[in-house]
Amino acid sequence: MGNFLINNYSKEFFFHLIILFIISISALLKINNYFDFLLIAGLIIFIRNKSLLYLYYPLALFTWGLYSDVLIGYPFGYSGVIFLFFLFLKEFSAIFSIIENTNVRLYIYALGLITLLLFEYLAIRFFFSVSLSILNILVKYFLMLIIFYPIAKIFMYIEIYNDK
Amino acid sequence: MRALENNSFRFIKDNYLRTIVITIVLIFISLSLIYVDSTKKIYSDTRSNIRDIILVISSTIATPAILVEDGLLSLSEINNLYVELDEYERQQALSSNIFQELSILRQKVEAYERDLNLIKDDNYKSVVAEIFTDSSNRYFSSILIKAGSSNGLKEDNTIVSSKGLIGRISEVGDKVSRGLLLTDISSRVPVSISSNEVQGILIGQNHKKPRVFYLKNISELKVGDLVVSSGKGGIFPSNIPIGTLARINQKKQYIEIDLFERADSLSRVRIINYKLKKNIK
Repeated sequence: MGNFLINNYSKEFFFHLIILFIISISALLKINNYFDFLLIAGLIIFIRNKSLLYLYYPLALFTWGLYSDVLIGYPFGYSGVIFLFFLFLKEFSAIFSIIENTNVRLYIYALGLITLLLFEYLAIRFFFSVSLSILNILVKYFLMLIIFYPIAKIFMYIEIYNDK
Repeated sequence: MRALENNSFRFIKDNYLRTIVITIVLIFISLSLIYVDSTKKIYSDTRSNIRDIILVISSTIATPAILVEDGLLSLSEINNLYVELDEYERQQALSSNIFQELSILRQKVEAYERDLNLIKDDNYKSVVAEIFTDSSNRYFSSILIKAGSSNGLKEDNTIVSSKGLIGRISEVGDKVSRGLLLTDISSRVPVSISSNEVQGILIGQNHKKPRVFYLKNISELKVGDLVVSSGKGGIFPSNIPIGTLARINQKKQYIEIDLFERADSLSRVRIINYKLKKNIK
């Protein structure tokens, strides 16, 4: 049992199970407007150190994106963009810092997240002529920053501790 | 040794670069898909068929979370039970009088319609269906309904409750359909406001109070005015109650609406098979 838990393949399996669980509760539960499950999935993708799928990993996230779009009713490709954006951000942050350096990763995440939310705000304003509440966006933003450390610590524990 | 280290560093660097390039390519593919999906709607049938299958997988995976949510909801419902009982007793006392008044009003309206020789536009069937889930998320507001093409549902059918308009059917599966709510940012409903019948377009704003734009005579409106569907465009029947006017913004020329009904407080909805073209034939 102990071997199974520290096995890299089981870690890979659990990661995808977590993503599936988050997408599923995102479609079937509605907690409130500020608690954004898609961004939480994005945060987990950003925090995660490495995948056994290597070059197929972006393709796997793209597929999860399509799954999420069909289930939740987003336009095709919408969730994929968010998942892949956080993967891109993760690869980008890996150039500047190692996984243990949570502070640098938080700064990069904060900058990436605000860019994403700003882009979404402008896209919705431009394509749908709807002005979203900036206060709601900011609450969502800071909520994600608050949960960054707990999730980062959990994943650091799972990945680094088990790799030793 | 240094050469070996250099080689391994190059391998890591190449791997990072390859992942970044693949990710960027896939981001562009996703953006193209969003563009095609929002302009041509070519995947509608495929999406509905796949959704029916993956809904089974996801509802199984999410069962623990759904059970916890149901438990919490039950607790809050028990808390509200006494308040609702008082309200119910009060409504019971009023309902007999209201029913009599409504009957008289209905007779009067029918008499006026006969006198004016109005063409009736209410020959449509309806289906009552359970709400599977409120999947409103991020900037999109929709519900999944336990009825589909096997129950006679079609795209753009109108969704109503006992209080008023909820939205329209946006995707039809075999047994499950998706309903686009009035609060969704892509929702557009032609409306008529107050007895002056001021016309406008109700646009969802991703929060509980949608707004009406493109108003011609905003000065004729006042807070509390009734907002109903105008029937223009042929998707929604006319005169379905939507809500009341909550706030007027003279500067930006729009008004905010307090909806009569919100989907998150409902467990069932009525779907009206309304098609204006069919009635014209």
